[in-house]
Amino acid sequence: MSENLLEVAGLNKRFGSVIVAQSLFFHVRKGEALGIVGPNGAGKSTLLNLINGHETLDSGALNFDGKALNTLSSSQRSKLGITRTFQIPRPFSGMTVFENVLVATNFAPEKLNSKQRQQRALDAIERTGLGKYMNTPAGKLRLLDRKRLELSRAVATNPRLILLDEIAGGLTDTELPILINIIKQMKSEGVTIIWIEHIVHALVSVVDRLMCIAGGNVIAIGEPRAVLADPKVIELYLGDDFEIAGQ
Amino acid sequence: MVILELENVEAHYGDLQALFGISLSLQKGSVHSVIGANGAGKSTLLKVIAGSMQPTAGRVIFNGLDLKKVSGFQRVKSGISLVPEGRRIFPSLTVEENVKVGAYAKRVGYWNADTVRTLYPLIADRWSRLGFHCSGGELQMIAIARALMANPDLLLIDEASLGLAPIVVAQVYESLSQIVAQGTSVLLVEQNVSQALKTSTTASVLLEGRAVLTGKSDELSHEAIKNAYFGIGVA
Repeated sequence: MSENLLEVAGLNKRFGSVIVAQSLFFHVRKGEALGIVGPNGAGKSTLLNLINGHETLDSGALNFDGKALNTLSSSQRSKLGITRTFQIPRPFSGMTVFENVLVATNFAPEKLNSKQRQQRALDAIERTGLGKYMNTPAGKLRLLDRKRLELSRAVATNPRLILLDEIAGGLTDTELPILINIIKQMKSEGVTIIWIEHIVHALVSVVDRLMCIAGGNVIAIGEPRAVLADPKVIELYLGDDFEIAGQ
Repeated sequence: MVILELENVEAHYGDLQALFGISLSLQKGSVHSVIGANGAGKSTLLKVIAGSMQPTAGRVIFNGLDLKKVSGFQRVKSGISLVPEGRRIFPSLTVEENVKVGAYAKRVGYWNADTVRTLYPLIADRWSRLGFHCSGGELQMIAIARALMANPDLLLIDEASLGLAPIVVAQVYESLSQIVAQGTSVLLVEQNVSQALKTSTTASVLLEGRAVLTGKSDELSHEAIKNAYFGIGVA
């Protein structure tokens, strides 16, 4: 059996004249954390949408643990163990934390009875440190706790692959390590992670490999610091003639 | 002489803090560039200075005046003009109308419809064309021309080069030196780091809402900028 959980082969996607994925090839190994960076409009969030089925491919193949994803809906992919969080948390604001997470258990791969679903929700909430807000309406949570709730909902589906979309944005210096620890804990439990993030130091503290994309192409992929030092990545971020007197 | 001084400025979007204790000062007649990755807080900083967003802490002092109770409109009258990201040109107005919209503050100075046409011959040639039909480069020139019509002492430019062809970027940056020569100070937000550093006297790197590196543009090392930009040591 392949050690790759996700294989992306020749992925193409465009919106009109805008190319967001151009013959993309990469893989993610089981239990691995892959970080994705790239400028605005690089196609990062769209890539997550293609993997979890929110968007359909123009062409190419997506395989998850050997199974073709191309024709599966988002909910079918969730049942296989693929889940995602969104850049802007979107909980049901009038429902409590517990109720929000309970809804997510409907999309777990295994069939759960009512009691099991409740236990799964409680476990997910505890794992992300939201226990004391169990009965708090989601609309009253502060930003860090809304992000924790986003993670709780994802964890409640018992994911094998979790797609994180800029989950660290806007957190304070004290909040960021809390979130990073939750993600590290998930990784240590064997969950495979693909994480898009602009806060590079947060990303690098967790991921095994980093991929930089732009214009729908892979610019560099590999060991995180090596990718950040890659001249093509530096050029992409800092300009094509980045030379300063005094260096 | 200092034209703009920021003292420990903080700003929030709801409970999301976008700026953390930003302090910087801009000398009259100079260009200061603010660089940083997406989400670093660059545009928020300009909004706070222009008055379209209120800081939650700290002070913005312009020409010695604390701007706390000064509205965005009054700031234009005081001499601050913003060239917003995305240019925000009225598509159904002509180039001429778009440019003249900027004169509503009625500040007297070097800049008027004739001098901005001389600065940007390209838009002079399109004077009667609708904004809708203008190219990205033309729109950027219209946006700067509109801001100049208020004869600002301080020009704030949000992403001067974003989405423009290299030749147009060169034209826009060349025009900045002419603008500064007329006595206007410039605070420039840019993702194109090399271009920004070449143009500015001083620069700051923002990272997650904090000014992590500030100095003279020609003295900041390649290494220090890379590390500040990414927030980690990059070999």
